[in-house]
Amino acid sequence: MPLEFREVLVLRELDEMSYKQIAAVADLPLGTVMSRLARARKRLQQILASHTQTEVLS
Amino acid sequence: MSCQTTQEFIHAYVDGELDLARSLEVEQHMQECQVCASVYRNQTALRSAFKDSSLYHSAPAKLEERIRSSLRREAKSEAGRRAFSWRWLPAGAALAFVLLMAFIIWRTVPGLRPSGDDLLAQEIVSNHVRSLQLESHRADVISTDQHTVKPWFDGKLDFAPPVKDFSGQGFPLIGGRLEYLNNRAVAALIYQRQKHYINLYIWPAEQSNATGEVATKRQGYNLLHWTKSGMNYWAVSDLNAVELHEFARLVQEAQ
Repeated sequence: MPLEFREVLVLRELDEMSYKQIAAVADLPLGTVMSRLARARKRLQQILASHTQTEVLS
Repeated sequence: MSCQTTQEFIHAYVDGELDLARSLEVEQHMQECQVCASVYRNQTALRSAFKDSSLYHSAPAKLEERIRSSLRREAKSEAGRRAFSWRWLPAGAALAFVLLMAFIIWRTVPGLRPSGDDLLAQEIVSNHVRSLQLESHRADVISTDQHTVKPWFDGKLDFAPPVKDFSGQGFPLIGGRLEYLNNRAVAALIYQRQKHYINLYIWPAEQSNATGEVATKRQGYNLLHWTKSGMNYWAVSDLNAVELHEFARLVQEAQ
């Protein structure tokens, strides 16, 4: 996964930061944080779907 | 709200970052749209998957210790570098060496350094010029009589300068003066040759051995220097070198 996607995902899901905090830490506009997070999640789901056959994720 | 807009906002909705009005719109849309509802379910499933403790590994204690100690080391060496930079040591040493060499060359190579005699000659020319600036500067005791001038120095100097009048040879004595040259009080005798004045400075020599005449020229003035009978002599005048030498010979023969 590209670094820019991983960055927002880690900050959001593991560090549990708000969008505003992520924007400050990653030096991004708030809108970019939101759209990048959406694309990152979509990508993650695709990756997970290809690796696992878990019903919930596919 | 369209499906596209909903799916755009759905992440913010899941994260609880969407404002109330839009949240309501998203919720309303999802009740009607199965596609968007399943997208929402996928997202919440993903989120709960993140919370799965199996994804989290705490770093081994040793790794943490290793990272922290290496950070401390780095911080310490950084502080050390700031306090004293060895980079400047060679530059400083080179500069000191160049200065030392320049000083040594200046001290040892003749011509670069003014010698003691050069400085004294300069001092004597200055004194000669000053003595002629005013008639009252010329002599403290005005007399053509050597028997008047010589006793005048008694008690003023710690030596007895030889005083001779050479009127018969065309160098009449004009008078005498006390001067301070070469870091000591000296006798200055003033003679005249037609319109030219000659200052003859006399003081005891440090070495008793006699030296021959040394002639120099400075700022248009002729200087003659010799040592005889334990006395230093400096004669200075705007007189030509030949006549000044003649005068010097008279002085030396009179002793």
